[in-house]
Amino acid sequence: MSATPPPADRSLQVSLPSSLESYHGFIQSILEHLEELSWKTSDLFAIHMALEESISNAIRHGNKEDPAKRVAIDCEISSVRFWIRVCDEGAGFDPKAVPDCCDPDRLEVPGGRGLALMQAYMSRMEYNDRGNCLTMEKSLSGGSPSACRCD
Amino acid sequence: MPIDSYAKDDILTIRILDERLIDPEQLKRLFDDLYAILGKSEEQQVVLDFGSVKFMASAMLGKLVAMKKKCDEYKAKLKLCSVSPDILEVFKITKLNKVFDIQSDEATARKSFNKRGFFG
Repeated sequence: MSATPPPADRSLQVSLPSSLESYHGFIQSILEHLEELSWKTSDLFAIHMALEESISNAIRHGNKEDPAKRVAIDCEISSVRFWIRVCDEGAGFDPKAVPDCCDPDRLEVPGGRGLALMQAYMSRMEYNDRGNCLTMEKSLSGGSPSACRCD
Repeated sequence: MPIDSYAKDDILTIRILDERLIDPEQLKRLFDDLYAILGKSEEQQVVLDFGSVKFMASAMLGKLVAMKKKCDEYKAKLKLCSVSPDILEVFKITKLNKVFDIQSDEATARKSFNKRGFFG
């Protein structure tokens, strides 16, 4: 088996403004392209969730909706693999310091579920050392979300 | 209004009409409307129908948890119903399926209010 990932059918780089109204068109275009590549509805839901959570986190928590800051996105799409890197211009954070939302004592807290959802839906997810760039990948051999559930 | 509602047999059903629950402003409007209806209602049993909802972001989960707590405070019972398989998976991943009573459809949710165990 080759360790080289399959070539991307499409590769794109975009820079989005730090506005919560600015990114829905981008997400829609990615989902439409994946649909054209015959990705299943449940996989499209999973990728939609990862895109929504990662980009809104970058805008709200990373760039704090500062209009002077941008969210830089690199994305590669093929019929079997979705790969994305989402970088904000914020100070970064330590994802290990985020409390486990699935802890029985924390089930009813208001927030903090975005990371768990991205982790569950993606085949791979990692932050850079500074904590301002998130890389995620979903491959069609990546299994169901239950395999990654936080328990 | 992003919801409609009706009361029958001491149970209030509220249907969420939006397909996608993402935008913070949209969520604020939705929950302002939900709390307004709950505030006026005399029913202590509430079914929240997700039949139209195809996608929701994690922000919606936090707001639902807050609404559940508010219902608990006022001794009102809240059940969710008609949650799509994709969205049910979101509840399972975050283990909120253990916090919310989720029924398959509205009729089942309504009937389940009437079930009593040995201790009532």
